[in-house]
Amino acid sequence: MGFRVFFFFAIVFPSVFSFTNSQAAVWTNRYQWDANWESRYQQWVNEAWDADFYLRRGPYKNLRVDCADAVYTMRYAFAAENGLPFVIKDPTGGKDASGAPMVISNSITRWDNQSDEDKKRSFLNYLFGVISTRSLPADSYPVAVNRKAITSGTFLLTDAASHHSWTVKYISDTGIPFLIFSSRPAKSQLFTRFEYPTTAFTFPHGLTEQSHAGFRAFRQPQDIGKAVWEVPGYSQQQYQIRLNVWAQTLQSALSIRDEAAEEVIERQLFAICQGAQDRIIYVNDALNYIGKVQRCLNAVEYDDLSSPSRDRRLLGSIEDLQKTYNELSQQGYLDKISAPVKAKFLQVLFGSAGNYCALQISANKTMSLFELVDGFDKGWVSSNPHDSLEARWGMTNQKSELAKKCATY
Amino acid sequence: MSKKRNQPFFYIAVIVVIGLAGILFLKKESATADSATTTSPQAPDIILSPTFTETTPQPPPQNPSAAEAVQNKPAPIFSAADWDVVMKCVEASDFKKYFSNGFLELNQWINSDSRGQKTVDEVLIHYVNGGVPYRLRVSPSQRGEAKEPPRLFKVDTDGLPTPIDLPTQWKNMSDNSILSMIRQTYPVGRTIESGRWNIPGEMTMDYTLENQQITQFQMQWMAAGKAAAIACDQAAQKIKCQCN
Repeated sequence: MGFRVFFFFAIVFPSVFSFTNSQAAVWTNRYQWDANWESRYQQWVNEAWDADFYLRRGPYKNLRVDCADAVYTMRYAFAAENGLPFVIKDPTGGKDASGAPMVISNSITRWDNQSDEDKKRSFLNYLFGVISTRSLPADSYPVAVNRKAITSGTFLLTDAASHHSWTVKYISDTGIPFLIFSSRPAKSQLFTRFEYPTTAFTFPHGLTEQSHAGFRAFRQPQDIGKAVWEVPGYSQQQYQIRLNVWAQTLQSALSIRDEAAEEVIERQLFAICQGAQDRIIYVNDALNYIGKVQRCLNAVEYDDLSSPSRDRRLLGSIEDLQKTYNELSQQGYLDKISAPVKAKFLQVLFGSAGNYCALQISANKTMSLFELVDGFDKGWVSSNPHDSLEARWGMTNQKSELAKKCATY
Repeated sequence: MSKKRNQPFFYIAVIVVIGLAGILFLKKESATADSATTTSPQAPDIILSPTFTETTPQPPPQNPSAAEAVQNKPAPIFSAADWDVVMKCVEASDFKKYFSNGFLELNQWINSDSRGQKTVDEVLIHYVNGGVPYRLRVSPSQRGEAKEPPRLFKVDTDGLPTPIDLPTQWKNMSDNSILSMIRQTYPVGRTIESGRWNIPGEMTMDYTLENQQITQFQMQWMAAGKAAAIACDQAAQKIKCQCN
């Protein structure tokens, strides 16, 4: 009898207890983060992380995400898939009895009665309500400037004033980042960019460490709560780059070969085309919303639905292409560009015949990239969500009635 | 005897060998660093800042940033006696009664550093209502630049926050609430510190400020239909709090 009681307490009870415990967590940690898992994480981001991530079958299908949500998901999904811990600092300032900062991790036990897949979705959804671009600094650190440090799985964070972030899918051989990101309002389809964002948007108050802006990597769980300079891999190198040559410096440091002139043109054309196609989505989001509410937007709605930063970025891409044209023209290189690339080049900048990246801006309206470039040149393209479709796309400089009377923020 | 005679030469030889080895080592390190900064031999001629090096210096920064500053809490500037004034003011204005009914309206909260810069990066207000702890997180904005919406969290029994909807009156950013005041008044950024004040009425307020200094602050709220306010100022080493 005594042995049986001993057996029960010594073996059965702890087993049941540990079983219950492991069931309670969102997922069980089977491994710990180390250099090998960091390397596998980078490989996974390079291969599996893409703009359709939330459209595929699985626990994350159709989740609607903003930019910071997408950044955290990149790390979360890999951790969940491989039984690795996912830990962030409680961004609401929670502290334990000893005054130490609380963390939020996959050991949370709020969704005990759900299936494993549902728990992963519920926890991520919960995180979306807690995290933001402002919580990212405490969960990450600024990295050194080399291809090992700025690589797949890192992310680029802006100054708090711009509150935006992009994930890095990979860095090309020519030193250009392929970025995957979301924006507001939150949606499931992610956006892509193949270029460095403008410094005016990324570092509006200068390139300082205090702004937290720049390329950053996620902290491992044991580094959460540490001072950032104590985190392995922490580097101040990025803050030694001069802002006026930020993109060039990074490209130079991260490239393993030169970028040919034709590649530069293709990249800049892609940036304009992608930016304009993405613009269709968020302009229509705004028009649909205004159509529904039929009133002036408040500050938060205006912030969600206006597009001044994105329009500045698109204009910046257009100016980059124009600059490339001028440089190649001055150096007499234009004739050396292949005919298909040159044709696209001339269509976008001069309205030559062709159908490169036509923009279906509504069910019955199409415009060319050149018409958009022309709208920007005239200063007619409107970022104001109160404006009409035509004004938003620079087809007219007439403000809508709502745009005339409603406040801008 | 001969060994003794040769000792000085032996030591000199050892020093010379160590010195040469050191020079060779430093040269090698230097060459490694030079080659590391140019990852691509054909990279365009981009000018790096003179101090840009591959080897990362790791001293603690002069100004720990917001996320890190939590670990280095500044010593409280206002003494317990000063807080007595604040507490009496709070009690007198029936703050508890108002708060137990629901909402706190805190219209203005100013802090500035010795250079006169007014900077708040984020404001976290911790309060308890009906025995349930809540946290309100508000990020200020600068000259109408992009904003993040304020977020309200209920703290659950596991100590972790759960996001909940903001009360309707807080959603309207054009009103005269704490949210719009904080968001419209203060620029973002800069190095900040964090701390916590305990205020009667089961309320604590976390503050976030610049340069480890609160030199002044003001709080205003509505209490039982009346406006109440506290203004504290640290001038010439003397702290004054006025209760209105």
